[in-house]
Amino acid sequence: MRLARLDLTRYGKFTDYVIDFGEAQPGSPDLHIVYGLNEAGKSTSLSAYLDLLYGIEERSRYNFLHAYNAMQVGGALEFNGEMHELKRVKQRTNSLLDGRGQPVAEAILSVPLAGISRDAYRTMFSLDDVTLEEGGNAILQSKGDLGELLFSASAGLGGVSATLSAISDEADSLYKKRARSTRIAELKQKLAELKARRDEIDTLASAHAAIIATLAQATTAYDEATTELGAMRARREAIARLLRARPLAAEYQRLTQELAARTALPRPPADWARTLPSLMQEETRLSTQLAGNRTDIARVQDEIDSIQLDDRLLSLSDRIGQLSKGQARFGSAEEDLPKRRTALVERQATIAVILTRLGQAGCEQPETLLLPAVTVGALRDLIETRSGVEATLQTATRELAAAKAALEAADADRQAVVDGAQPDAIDMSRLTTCLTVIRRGDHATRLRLAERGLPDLQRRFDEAVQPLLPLLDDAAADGEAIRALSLPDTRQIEAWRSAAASIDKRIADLAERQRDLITQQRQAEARIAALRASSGPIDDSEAARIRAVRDAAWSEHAGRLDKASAEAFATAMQADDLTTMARLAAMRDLADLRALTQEHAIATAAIARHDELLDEAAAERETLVSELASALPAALMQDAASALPRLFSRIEGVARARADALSAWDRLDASIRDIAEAKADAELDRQELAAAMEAAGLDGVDGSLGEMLEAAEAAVAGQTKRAAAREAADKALADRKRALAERQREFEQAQAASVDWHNRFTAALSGTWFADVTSAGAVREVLETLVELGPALNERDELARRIATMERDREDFTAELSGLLIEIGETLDPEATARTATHLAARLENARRDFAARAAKEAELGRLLETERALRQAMAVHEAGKAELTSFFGVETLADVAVALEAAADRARLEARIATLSDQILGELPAASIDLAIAELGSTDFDEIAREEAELITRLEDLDQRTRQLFADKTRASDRLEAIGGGNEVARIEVERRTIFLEIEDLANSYLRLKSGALIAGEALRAYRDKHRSSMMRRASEAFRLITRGDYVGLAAQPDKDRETLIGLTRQGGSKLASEMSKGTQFQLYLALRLAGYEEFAASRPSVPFIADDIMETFDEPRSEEVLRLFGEMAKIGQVIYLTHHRHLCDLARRIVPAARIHEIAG
Amino acid sequence: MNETAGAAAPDQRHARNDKNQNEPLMAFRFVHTADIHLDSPLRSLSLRNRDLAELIGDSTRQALVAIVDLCLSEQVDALVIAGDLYDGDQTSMKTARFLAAQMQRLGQAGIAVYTIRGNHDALSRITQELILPPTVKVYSGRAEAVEIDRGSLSIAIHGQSFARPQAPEGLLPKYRPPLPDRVNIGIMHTSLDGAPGHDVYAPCSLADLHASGFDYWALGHIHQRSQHDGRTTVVMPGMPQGRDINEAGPKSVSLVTVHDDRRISVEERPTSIAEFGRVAVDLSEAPSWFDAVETIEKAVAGARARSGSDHLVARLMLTGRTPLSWRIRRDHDLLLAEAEQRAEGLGRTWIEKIDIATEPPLEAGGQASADPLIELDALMRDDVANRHGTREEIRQMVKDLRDELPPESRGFSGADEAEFEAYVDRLLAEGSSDVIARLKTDGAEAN
Repeated sequence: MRLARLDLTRYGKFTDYVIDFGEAQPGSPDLHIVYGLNEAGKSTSLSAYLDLLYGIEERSRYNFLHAYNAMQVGGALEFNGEMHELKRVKQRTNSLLDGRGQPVAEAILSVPLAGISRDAYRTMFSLDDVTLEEGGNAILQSKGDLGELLFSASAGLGGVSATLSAISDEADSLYKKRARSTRIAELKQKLAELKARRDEIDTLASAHAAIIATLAQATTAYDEATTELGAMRARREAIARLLRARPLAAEYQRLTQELAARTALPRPPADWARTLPSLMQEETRLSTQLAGNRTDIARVQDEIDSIQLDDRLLSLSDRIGQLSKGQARFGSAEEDLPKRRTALVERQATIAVILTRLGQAGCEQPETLLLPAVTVGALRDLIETRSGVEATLQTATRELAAAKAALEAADADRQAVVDGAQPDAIDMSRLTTCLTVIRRGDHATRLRLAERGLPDLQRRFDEAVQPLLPLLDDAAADGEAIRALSLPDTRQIEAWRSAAASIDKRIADLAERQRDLITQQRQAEARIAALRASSGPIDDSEAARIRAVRDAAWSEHAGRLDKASAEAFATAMQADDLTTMARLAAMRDLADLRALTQEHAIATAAIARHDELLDEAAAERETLVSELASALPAALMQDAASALPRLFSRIEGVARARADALSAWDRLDASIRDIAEAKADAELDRQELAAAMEAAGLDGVDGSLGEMLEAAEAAVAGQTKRAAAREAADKALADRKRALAERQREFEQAQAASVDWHNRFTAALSGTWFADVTSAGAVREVLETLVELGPALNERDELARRIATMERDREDFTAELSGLLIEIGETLDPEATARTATHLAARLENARRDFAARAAKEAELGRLLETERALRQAMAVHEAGKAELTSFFGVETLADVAVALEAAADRARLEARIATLSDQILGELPAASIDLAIAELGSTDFDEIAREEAELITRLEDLDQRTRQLFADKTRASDRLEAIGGGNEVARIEVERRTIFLEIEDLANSYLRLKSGALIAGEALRAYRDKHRSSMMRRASEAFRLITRGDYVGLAAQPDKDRETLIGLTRQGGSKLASEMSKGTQFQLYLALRLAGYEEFAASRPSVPFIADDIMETFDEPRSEEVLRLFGEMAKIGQVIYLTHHRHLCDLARRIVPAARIHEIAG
Repeated sequence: MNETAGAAAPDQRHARNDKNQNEPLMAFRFVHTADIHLDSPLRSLSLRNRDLAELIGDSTRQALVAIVDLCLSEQVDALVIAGDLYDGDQTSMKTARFLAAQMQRLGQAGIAVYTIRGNHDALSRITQELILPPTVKVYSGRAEAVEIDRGSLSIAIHGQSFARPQAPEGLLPKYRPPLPDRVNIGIMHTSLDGAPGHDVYAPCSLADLHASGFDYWALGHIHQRSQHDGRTTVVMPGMPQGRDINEAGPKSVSLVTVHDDRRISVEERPTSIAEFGRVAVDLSEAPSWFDAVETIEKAVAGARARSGSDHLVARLMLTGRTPLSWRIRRDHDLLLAEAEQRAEGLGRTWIEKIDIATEPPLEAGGQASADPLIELDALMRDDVANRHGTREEIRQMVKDLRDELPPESRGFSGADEAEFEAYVDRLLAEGSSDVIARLKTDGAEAN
C-alpha cells in the first residue's frame, strides 16, 4: 500500500489542508521528508493517517477546532494496482467513505494492511526517538538473545525482555520453593495460626462426652451428701426445741397457780379503763365553764343600758347625705361667678375691635360677615401663586434676550475659524502611514540588544577557542579556521582505539606467555640437572659416550690382545655394564629425563617464536602510531606513542572543544549579522520617510532619522489641531441655535400663565361682601381678620351660658338645707349656709356610730345565753355516765372506780402470759395438748440430750465441708459444659480458613499460569528465531554494514548453550557482542534489525508506508547521513515518510538520496 | 395426639398454648427444610473482604434463625427437617449447642420438630453428643410413624434415619404403608434418580413416590429446590443457604398447609442471607475501559434487582469481542477492584471473581494477520504447547507446587489423570494468552 495524498479536511488545527506525496517513481526510492516547524502539525498528520486507516479514535484529542461530528480526513491510497480515494468521518458505523461519499466496507483495507491492527501498525511501521531509545535498551536487556531481538525488531516492541522478566518476578513473589516471604508461604503461616486459635477455643465432640460423664458423677455424689446432711440437721433441731421448751414449762406451771387465787373480782368492760380518765376531766371542765359564763352575761347587760340614741336625725340620714354634692357646687359658684362676668365683658370688647378693623363697626350680626371655607381656600391659593407667575414671566423675558446675544457671538467665532488657512490633507495621510510603520519597526531594539550581547559572545568564543589555539596555524582564529581544522571522526577514533587496544592486549598476552615459557624452560633445566645428580650418568648421551669408550677399548684390545688392552677393555666393559645396570635400574628417571629434554627443546623454540611475534606486534604498533601521526596534527602527537589511550582521550577532548568553539562562533557570527541587518533596516526607513515628507511639502529631509521623525510628527500634529478647532466652532453654533428656540418657547408659556391668573382671581372675588376690593394684598388682610372673628364670637356665647348655670345651682342648695333644718326644728342662718351644712353632717355621723355600738352588744348577750343552755345539757349527760360506773363497783366517786379497774387489768395480763407460754411450748414440741407436752418434758433425760448435741455439732461440721466441696466439683463440670456455648467463633475461623485455602488455590493457579507462560514464550521466541534467522540475518547484516559504513562487515549468530547470541563482525576481523557495542552502535544495530523486519514483512506481502518521526534529534551529521541512506534503502521496498523540524535534514536527504521529495507543512 | 407402637412422639404439652383452646383445630401447618449444613463454611474468595466475612460468614446460622423465626411468626404446628443438619466432618460442639438452642426456641413456643438423619449426620461425630429438647422427634434407623389427631384432621408423619453414611439401596420399601383415613407425610433423605454434584444416596424414583399412597413427601439431600406435584406432593426444598457459586441462586424453605379437606398447598419462603450468582456481561459494545466498567455495573445492578436475598455475591463472566480483551486479561486485578467498588456503590453487592472469556475483535475480512505477536501466539499454541518436553516440564511444575500446598488447596489440578491433563492444557492456553496480553498492551502503552 502507498499513501499518495493525505487530506486533512477537518482535523485538529487543519481545515482543507492537503499533503500530496505524488505518484511512485519506478526504480527510484520512495522517500518523503515532511518538514514543518514545531507545532506545525506533523504528529497531527501521523495521527490523521492512522485515523484514515483505522477510524477516528473514540476519544480523539483532535476535536479542538472541528467538533467530533464535523471531523474528516481523507486521502488517496494506492493498492492492488489501483488508486483509491477514501474519506473517514467520525461515526460508529459506515465511517469509511469513497470519493463520492458512499460508505465502503472496512474490509477493503484489510488485505493491504495485512490484517495488522492499529497498535501493531504503530509499533511495526513507525519509529520515533522514544522507540529508538527503547530499541537500544532492548538490545542490552535481551543480552543479545537472537530470538528476542529478531522478534522485537519485527514487532517494533522494545519491552519483550522486560515483560518476560516481570512475569518471572511476579511468579516468584507468589511462590518459590523454600522461600518464606512469598504470598503462598505467608498464607500457609496464617493457616497454622488460625488452626492454633481454633484448637484453643473449640470443644470437640469427644471432649464433650468426658465432660458429661464427670458432671453426672459429681451430681450423684453431691446429692447423697446433701441427703445425709439434711437428716442430721433435723435431729439437731429437735434437740434444740426440747432445750428451749424446758424453762417455758416451769414458768407456765408457776403462773397457773397464781391465777387460781384471783377469781372474785368482777370483769368490767374492756373500754372502761380507757374512758375513765376522760370522764374525770369532763366533770371538772363543765363546772368551771358554767361559773365563768354567768359573770359575762351580767357585764354585757350593763353596757347595753348605758347607750342613748338620736332617732329623728337618723330618720333624715338619706337626705342629709345627698346634701354634700350640692354643697360642693355651691362653694365653687361662690368663688367663680365674679370672674366669669368680667371675662364676658372682655370678649364683647374684642368683637367690637374686629368689626372696626373690617370696616363694619356697629354691625348687629357679626356672624353674617363670615365667608364659606371654599371661597376662602380659592382666594388663598390664587394669592400664593401670584408671585410665582410674575417671576417666571420676568425670567423668561430676560433669558430670551441673552440667548439672542449668544447666537450672534457664536456665529462670529465660527466665521473666524473658517477664514483660517487649510493645508493639503492627502499628503499628510501618506506621512502618517509612514510614521506608523517606522514606529512599529524593531530594528533599533534589535540593534541595541545585539550590540549589548556582542562582547559577551566574543568573550565566549575566545574562551572556547583557547584549547584549539595550539592546533591553529596562525592567529586568525575564526570560524573558517576552526572548521578547516580536520579531525578524524568518532568512528575512525573508535577503530584506532580498538586496534590499539587489540595490539596492546596482544603484546601483553605475548609477554605473559613468554614469561611462562621461560619459566617452563628453566624448570626443565633444573629438573634435568637434579635427575642427573641423583641417578648418575644415565642419560642417553652419557651412555652412548661410555658405550663408545667400551667399543674403542674392544677395538684396541682386539687388535692388540695384550694384558693392558684387556684390562682397559675390562674397565670400559665394567663402566658400560655399570651404566647399563644403572640405566636399567632408573628406567623411569630415564624416561623423565628424555621427556624433560624434549620439553626444554620445545620451550626454547617457543620462546624464539614469541620473540618474533612480539617484534611483529611492536611493528604493528609502530605502523599504527605512524598512521596516527600522519592523520593527526603534530601538536596532538606529542609523546603519544607511549600512551595511546591518552591520545584518544585528547583527540576526543579536542573534538569536543572544536564543536564548542564552532557553536560559539556561530552565535557570534549571527549576532554580528543581526547588527548589520538592523542598521540596514534603519536606513530603508529613513529613505521612505524622506520621500513622504517631500510629498507633503515639508523641509528638513536631509537631517538624521531622529530629526526627520520629529519634523514630520510636528507637521502631522499641527494639521490635526486645526481640524479639531473648526469642528468645535461648528458644534458651538448649532448649540446656540437650539438654545434660542428653547428660550422663545419658555417666554410664551410664561405670558399665558399670567393672563390666566387674573381671570381666575376676579371670578373668586365676585361672590363676597368685599367684591369691590381688587388688590390682592387687601383681600389677603380681610381674610386674615375674618379668621379672628369666628373664635371670638364662640367664646362670648360659652361664657354667657356658664354664668347662668352657676346661679341656678346656688339657689337649689340653699332651699334644700333650709327645708332640712325646719324638719328638725331649727332655722337657717343665711350667712352661715356652708358651715351649717357641714355641722349637720357631723351630727348625723355621731348618731349612726351610737346605733351600731348598741346593736353589737345585744348580739353578744344572745350568744352568752345560748352557751349557758348547752353547758347545762352536757352536765346532765355526764352525770348519767358517772352513775353507771359507780354503781357497777358499788362506790361513790370516779377515783374509787379507778382503783377497782387497775386490779382487773392485772389479772388479765397474767392470763395472757400463760396463753403465750402454752403456745411457745406447743410450737417447740410436737404434742397434742399442753398437758401432754408438760408431761413429755417431765420424762425427758436432759443429760443424754446434751451429750447427743455435742456429738452432732462435730459431725455436722465435717459433713457440711464435704458437701461444699462436692458442690464445687459439680459446678465446675457444669460450668465447663456451659462454657462450650453456641457462639460462632469457631465457625468464623473455619470460614477464614476456607477462604485462605481458596486464596492459596487461586495464587497457585496464577503462579502456574505465569510460569507456564514464561516457559512457552521463551521457547516460542526460539522457534521464531529459527524460522526467521536466515532471511532476517542476511538483511540485517547487510544493513548494519551499510549503516556503520563498513566498520562492521556484518552480523552473525553465536551459539551459547540453548540460546544464540548476536555478534557484530568488525572490519578488523574481530567480533563484538551486541551488549558490548557503544550506545551509538546499538542504535545502528537496532535500526538495521528494524529494516530487516520491514523487509521481512515486505518480502511476503505488499509493503505499507513506514513513518519515522524526527529520530535523528541527537545524531551528528555523519550518522544522520547513514540513517537517511538506510531509509533510502527501505524506500526501495516501500514508501518511507520522515517527519522532521530540522531544515538541514531536508538538504542532507537531497544529497544522500537525490530522489527524496520534500513536503513542507506551513505552520 | 396419641402414639402408636414404637414411635416416641415429641412432647407437645405446650402445643398451641398461645391460641384459644376452645377454637376448633383447623388446618395443620408445617415448615419443611433440609440440608441446613449448619456452620459449614462458605467457599468464596469474596470473603477475603473482612466486612463481607463479618456480614455473611455465619449465614448458615442466620438462615436457621430465619427458619425458626418463620415458624414462630407463622405459628406453625411443626418444623420438618429432612436430614443433613451439618457437614459430616464437623466436630465443634458449639455448632451442636447452637442447634439445640434454636430447637429450644421452637420447643418453648410449642412447635414440634420432626427430623431424620442424612448421610452427613450419620458421619458426624457430634450427632451422638447432641442433646435436643423433648419437642424434637429424631426418627431412628427403623421406619416409624407419629400420629397426630386434630379433631376432624388426623395426620401421620413417617420417617426413617440412616445410621451409616452410605445408602446404596432405596429406602421407600422400608417405610410403613400409609395409614388409612389419615394424611400421610413421609420424610426421606434421597438423591432421587441421581443429581449432578451429589453422591447416590437412597435412590428412588418420582414415579414410585407418586404411587406410594402418601400425601406429601418431605425430601432432602439435593441442594437445588424442586417440586413435583401429582398424586402426591413431592418437594425437595433445597438448602436454606447456598455456600458457593455451585449452589447459586436464591434459597428457601417450604411452608406447607394441610387443609381440613386434606388438600395440600405449598408456599416457598426465602431464607438465604447471601445469594451466589453468575452474572454474564457482554462487552461487545464497550469500546473503552470506562464503558466496560459501566457495562459491568449495569449488569450487576440488574442481577442485584433480581436477587431476593440480603446480599448478592456475584461472579462475573465477561464475554464478547472487544478491543479491550488483552487489557482486561492483563489488568484483571484492576478491573476486579473497579467492579468491587461499583458493586459497593450499589449496596449489599459483592464481586467474588471475574472469569474472562472475552476475545479480541476479528480482523475485518478474516485476513490472517501479519502481526508478529499473532505469529508468536500461534507458535506458542500450535508448536511449543504440543512439544512433549514442554508439557512434561509443566506437569512436573504443577506436581511440585501441589505437593507443597495444604490438602484442602490441591483441588485445582483435577481429581484424576484426565482432569490433570485438561488442567495442563488450560495452563498452556491461558499462560500463552497472558504473555501475549502483556506484550500487546505493554507495547501499545509505550507508543
